Amino acid sequence: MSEPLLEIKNLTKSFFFKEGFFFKSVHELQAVKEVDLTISKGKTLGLVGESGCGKSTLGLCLVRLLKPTSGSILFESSNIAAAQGKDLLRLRRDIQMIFQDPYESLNPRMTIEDALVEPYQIHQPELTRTQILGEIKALLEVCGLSVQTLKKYPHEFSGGQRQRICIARALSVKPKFIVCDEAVSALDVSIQAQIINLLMDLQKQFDLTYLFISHDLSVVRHICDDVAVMYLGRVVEQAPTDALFRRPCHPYTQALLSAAPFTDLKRDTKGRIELQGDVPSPIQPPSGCAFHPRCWKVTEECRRVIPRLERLEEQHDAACFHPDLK
Amino acid sequence: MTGYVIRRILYTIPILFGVSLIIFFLFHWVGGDPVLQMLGKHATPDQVAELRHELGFDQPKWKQYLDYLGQLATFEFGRSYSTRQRISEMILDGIGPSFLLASLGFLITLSLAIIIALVSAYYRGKWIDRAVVLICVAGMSVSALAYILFGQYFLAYKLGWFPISGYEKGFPQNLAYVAMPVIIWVMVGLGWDVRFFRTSILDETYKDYVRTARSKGLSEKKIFLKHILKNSMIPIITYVVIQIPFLILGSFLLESFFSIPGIGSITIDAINNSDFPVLKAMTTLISVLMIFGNLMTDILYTLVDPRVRLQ
Repeated sequence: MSEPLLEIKNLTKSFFFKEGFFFKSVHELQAVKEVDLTISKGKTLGLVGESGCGKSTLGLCLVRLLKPTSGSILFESSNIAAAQGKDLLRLRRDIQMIFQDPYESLNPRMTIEDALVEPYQIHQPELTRTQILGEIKALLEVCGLSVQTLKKYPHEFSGGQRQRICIARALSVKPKFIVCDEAVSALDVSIQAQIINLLMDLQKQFDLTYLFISHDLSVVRHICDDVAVMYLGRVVEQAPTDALFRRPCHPYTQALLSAAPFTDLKRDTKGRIELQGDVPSPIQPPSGCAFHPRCWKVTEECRRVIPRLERLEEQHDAACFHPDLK
Repeated sequence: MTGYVIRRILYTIPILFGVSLIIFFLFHWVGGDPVLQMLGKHATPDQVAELRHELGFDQPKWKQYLDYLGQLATFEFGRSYSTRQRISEMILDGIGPSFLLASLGFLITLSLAIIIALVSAYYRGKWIDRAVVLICVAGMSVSALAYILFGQYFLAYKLGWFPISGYEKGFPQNLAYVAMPVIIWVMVGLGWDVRFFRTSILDETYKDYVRTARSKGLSEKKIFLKHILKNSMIPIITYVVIQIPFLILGSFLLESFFSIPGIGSITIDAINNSDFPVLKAMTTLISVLMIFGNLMTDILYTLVDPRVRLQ
C-alpha cells in the first residue's frame, strides 16, 4: 500500500434542527458516524451507498464545505477538521470538489472566463490577466474544451461540456485531492464514459487522488482502486475493489451488489437478495447494528451492540458479527 | 440587441389596438349613457338629441372609434364635461404633483428596502433577520388609512409638524406638502418590498453555484456581493420596473386624502362627476403606461440576464 494522503479518524457530522413552535426541542441527526477511512496517494476510493446514507455529507466534510462535529481528518499529516481562515484558504487549493449537477453548479450570470479566472485571483493574486488566460487555455485543452468556450455563458453548453468546465474549474488551483460527488450521475451514459475517461486521464497526468462518491456500482467498479460501503452514516465494509465485488462479506454489501446488473460476477445460489422495508430514519436509528431490521442473519447481539469495522482478511474490513467468510 | 428592442416596440402596436378596442367597448356600450347622466331626469327629448349631436354620440360607432383612435394618437381627449378644461392640460398639470409624491415615495422605499433586505439576508436566521421580518409583517398588517389618520391627527393637527392637507406649486414649499404623504407611502410599502427582496436574495443563497463559489475559496462577503446579489437582481428588477407607471399616476388614495391635485385626484373627481371623457383619457393613460412598463422590463432583462435569448 502506498503512503496515505488522507486519513479520516472517527469522523462524525451531526446536524441539529429545532422542532415545535413554543417548546422547541432540538433533534440531532448524525449523518456521518465515527467513520475511519484512509485514502492512498494517487488512488481512487469509491464511496457507495443508497441515497441519504451520508456519503455526500462525508465528501463535503473532506473538502471542508461542512465542519465535522468531531473526529479528525489528516491531510498530509495535518488535521484539517477544524481549519479556519488562512489554513482553510490554503486547503481550497489542495482539495477540490466536482459536484453532481453541472447545470446548477455554475453561476448563470458569469461567463466561463469569469468563473475560471476567479480561483486564480483568489489563490494566485500575483498573476496578470494575460498569464491567467494562458493557464486557462492550457487547462481547457486538457479538459477537451475549445477556447471559444470562454466568452459563453453556462446555459449555452450541454451537460457533458458543463461538467468538463466544472472539472477545469476544480483543476485550476492544481489540487492534490478531488472529491467527485456523483460527478457523472446527471449525465447520459455515453457522456458518462467520456467524463470518466477524462477523470482517469487527468489522474495519471496530474497524480491526483480521488474520492469517488457514487451509487452506480458499475462505474465504481470500473475506476476505483478501493471501495467503501456506507449504510446510515457508517462504513460497513471496505476492501480493494476486486475483493469487494467478488467476495462481499457484509450482508448489506451482498444485497447491494445483488441488485446491480453485473454479467460477469459469479453469484452464489441465493440469487437476488431482496431487502425488506426501507432505510430507517437517521433521526431515530435502530439500536445496535443499523442494518439489523432488514438483515436476514440478525441475532440478539446485532440488536444490542454496534459492530465495529474489523479486519477479516488482508485489506478487507467489515462491520458485522456474522460476515460471510469463504 | 437593437433589432430585439425594435421588435419589442413593434409588438406594443397590436397590444395598444386591443386595449383601445376594450376601452372603447367598455365606455360606449357598457358604461351607460353619459348624455342622460349629464342632463338629469327632467331633460326633454329635444335637449337629449341636441347634446348627443353636440358630443358626437349620434354618429355611427365605427366613426366614433376612429375619432377615439385619433385622440389616442394625438393624446388630445377633448374637454372635461364638468370643468370644460382641456384634458391634456389637466393631465399635464396633474403629472407634476403626482410624480413628485410618487417618485419620492418610490425611491425612498426602494433604497431603504434594498438596504434592509441585504442586511436581513446576510444575517439570515439571526435575531436581526427575525426582527426585520417581524417588523415587516407588522407594518404590512396596518392599513394605509390608519397611517393617514394618525399622521393627519397627531403629526399634523396636534404637533403641527406638517400641513394637514393641500398643495402649493413651486420648490421648496411643495416638499412640505408631500412630506407626510411620502412618509406614509414608505411606511405602507416598505414591509412588502423588504420581504420580497429578502426572499429573492435568499432564493439564490441556497443554489449550487454558491457552493461552487465557496469551494473556490471566496469569502462569504464576496460570494454575497458578487454571486448572490447579481442573480437575485433579476426578480427584483421586474418587481421594480412594473411599479414605474405608477410614478406618473401617483397614489389615488394619498392624493385624495391630502388634496394633492395630481392624476389620482383628477381621476377620483372624474369618477364622482361621471366625467366621461376624463375617465376615458385616464383609463387610456394607465393602459399605455402599463404597456410601456412591461416593455421596459423586457428590455432591461436582456441587459441583466444572459439567458434571455434575443432571437
